[in-house]
Amino acid sequence: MEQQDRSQTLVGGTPAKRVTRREALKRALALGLSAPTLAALLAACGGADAPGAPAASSAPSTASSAAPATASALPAASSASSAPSAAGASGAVSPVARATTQAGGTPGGKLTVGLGSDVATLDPHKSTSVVDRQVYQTLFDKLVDIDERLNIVPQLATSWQIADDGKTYTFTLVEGATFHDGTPFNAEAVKINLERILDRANALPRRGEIEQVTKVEALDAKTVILTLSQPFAPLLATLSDRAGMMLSPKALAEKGDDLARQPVGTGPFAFVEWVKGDHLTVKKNPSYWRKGLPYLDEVTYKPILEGTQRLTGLKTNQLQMVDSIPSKDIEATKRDTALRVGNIPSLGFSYITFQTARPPFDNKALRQAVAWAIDRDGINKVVFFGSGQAGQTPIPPSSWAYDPAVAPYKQDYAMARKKLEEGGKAEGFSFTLLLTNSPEAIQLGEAYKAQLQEARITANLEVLEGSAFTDRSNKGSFEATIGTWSGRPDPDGNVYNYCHSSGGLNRGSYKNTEVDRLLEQTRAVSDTGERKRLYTQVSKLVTDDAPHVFIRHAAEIKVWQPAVEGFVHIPDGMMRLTTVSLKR
Amino acid sequence: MALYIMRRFVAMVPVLLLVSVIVFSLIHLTPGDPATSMLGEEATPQAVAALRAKLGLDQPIPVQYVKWLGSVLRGDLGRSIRSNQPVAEAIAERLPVTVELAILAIAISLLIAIPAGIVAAMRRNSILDAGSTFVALLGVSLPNFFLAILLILLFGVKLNWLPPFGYQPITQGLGGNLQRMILPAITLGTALAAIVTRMMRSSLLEVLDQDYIRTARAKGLGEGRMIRAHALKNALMPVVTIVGLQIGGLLGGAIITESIFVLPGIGRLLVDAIFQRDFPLVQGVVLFVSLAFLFSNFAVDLAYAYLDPRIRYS
Repeated sequence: MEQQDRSQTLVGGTPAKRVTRREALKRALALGLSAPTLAALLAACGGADAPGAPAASSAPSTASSAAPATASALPAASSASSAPSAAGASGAVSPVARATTQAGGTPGGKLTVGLGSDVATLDPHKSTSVVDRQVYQTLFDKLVDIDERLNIVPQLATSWQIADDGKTYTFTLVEGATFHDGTPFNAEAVKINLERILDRANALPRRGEIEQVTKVEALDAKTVILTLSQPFAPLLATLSDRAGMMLSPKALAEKGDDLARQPVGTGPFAFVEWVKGDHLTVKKNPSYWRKGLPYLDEVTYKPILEGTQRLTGLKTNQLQMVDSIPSKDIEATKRDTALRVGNIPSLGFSYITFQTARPPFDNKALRQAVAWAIDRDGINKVVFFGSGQAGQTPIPPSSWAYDPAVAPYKQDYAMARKKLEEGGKAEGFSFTLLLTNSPEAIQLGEAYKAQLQEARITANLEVLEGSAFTDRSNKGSFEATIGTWSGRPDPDGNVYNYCHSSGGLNRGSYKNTEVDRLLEQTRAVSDTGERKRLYTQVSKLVTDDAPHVFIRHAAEIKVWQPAVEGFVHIPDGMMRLTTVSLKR
Repeated sequence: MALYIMRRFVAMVPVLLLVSVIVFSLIHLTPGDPATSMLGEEATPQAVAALRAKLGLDQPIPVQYVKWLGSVLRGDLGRSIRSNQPVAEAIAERLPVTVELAILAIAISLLIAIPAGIVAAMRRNSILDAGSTFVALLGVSLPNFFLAILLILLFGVKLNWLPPFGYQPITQGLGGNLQRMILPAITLGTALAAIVTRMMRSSLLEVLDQDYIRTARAKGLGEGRMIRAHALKNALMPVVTIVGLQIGGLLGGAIITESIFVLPGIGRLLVDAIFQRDFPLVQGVVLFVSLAFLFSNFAVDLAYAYLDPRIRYS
């Protein structure tokens, strides 16, 4: 009740319409308001931001767009308080995407897709940037793929068998597939590709993902056997991404480093040209092994750095589909009847990582104090316009391993103070928070700073340019840092790297032998139910140790014109265009 | 004259060398090395070491520099370590966009600035003068990106006259090319026009104070004729200097304008290369941009001789 009083003072104190968003944020954070109150406040600031609207994603705009500014403050607040479940519902079903998947497509047509940045390399085994993967979906096939529910489904491998000890995988390959240069796809090609990744001398970034594989044998033309040094349950999920993408052995032998700009795969589309910074074009592969597919004749990818410009492109028909738009534009875009918005939970998470090897954060109680001082819902609503959802573990709601019961923290300054006392810093303490120079990261840093200040914790922000930031954080040279992980379909890809003492992204030197043991066990067992149980245990231990504070799971957003049909929105956010067609 | 040109060329060499040393050291001293950024989040120390060795980054920086300089002197700028594209090819691919944008922006700025500057000088302290001063101030103060967004909203979205972004090579049709270049050119041109207008006005006022102008006036020469025949040519000297410097800058690419309008020009090439720590590409582009700058200054010096016959190069 106290909170409500405060919010009324806030809203009543100033004519509601004149409170700017930033102003409201500042005041709200200062007062330590919880999410629903904040939402009410923001709703009062202007109808456009009313968080009650998300359910109307694909509905015609009439009813929901007329959100009144001041009078609706209270109703908006009440619907906002149930926002997480609403978001979950609209996300899980994604009505637009589902409705159109079954329809057979009209062949022909050219699609132009807007991406957030330019592709770095066209050699999937060398790729480390997310945007590359968008283009690979058309050029390359993978051994297996994932579906909307993150199940593993066949692609170049039609079936597979896993030995009881989990150390031998036998794949049966599709017949009749050829690479764009005419080379037949067969077991030997798989062997050459995987051995290329595994060869240490090649120093390829994807090696770590499949390093458990010790031997690749081509039994006959369509059977491949992988032998592992130890059981590795996430292997199939890993092969649904870059490590499982197959390049032409002939091209591998002849082109060498030039594969980075002249890709040859088996995918539904073949490479045409890449004018860096301007466009990348692929055209229909007429002899694609999936008969009758793809529908489109040509796809052009355009790197458009400005999010607003990507939207402009959609509205003016320069683009028919785009990858992600700024959080602030999501609500308005949902109300635009001329566009379709796909909004589902992503695979990733954002977090704060502590350097646990050095003071101040070698002290568990101080890490927990930070975890108690942060209002996750507030952050999601204010910095990300309510587009994602608050989170507590590295496992996103889209995953089968997600356990909503593991949610130990909420913003509670009394608890934060208690933890400070426990950590011997009753008077508070200060630390340096390392950030990249992206506007969103800076805004997020400011929000953390404001919330922590209330708990007498002073966060000094240190802002660095992207590569310099990565360099510092990879070296573990920070007290605390913030980051975002794009996520992997198998929970192992989200948890092991961050929480195992030998994990590649465990930059804060976290070590808990029990967590290590459990994480190794998750790799060894293949039963999903058993793995989920183990991940719940890990999540409990990790949230209590708090080497990272998990904050939020982003929304996975795609926007397209109504003429684009057959798009299946998969939580990894990759645009698979094989079954997409254009209505004319 | 020939001797002068020769001397200027020779003088460029140390400047270029110095630039290359500075660029080379700066990029290598910047935190974040290409091996780490190429390997991304999966970078283990062993993998980074292997890749550094493969790229030759494990050698001392002076050794790397000498090797690089050696191949540059042989005409080889190296290859991008990301896409393996030859650096020279990457620059050649982007150059037409940037050159065209620079030419159009300068043309637009001169079309606006010279008449506006002349009018402002001739009607000194009039409402026209104040108006041109105000517009010039606005032009200088308005950030590029803001003007760009306004232009896109008006012509690209509201009126739907022009595409909001994108590039089409001239070889695919001049019309389509100009449609896409005109908004970026206006964006760049207006800021430049503002500077040139002020320069034109003040230098013309100075010239109009001179004795020979008084003489011309005394002979009963009309104002228009007098400006064209006597005053303008002399007043253009400082303007040429300014425009020349701007050409050099524009050839280095207009990063913000290119980004907003999605033009694949030199500016974005350089920025992408820096962010990806693509050392050979950064070095190649910066070397090229410095060359462009030196040459445009050189061209300005030669233009002086044409504008003012008293200047002789010997």
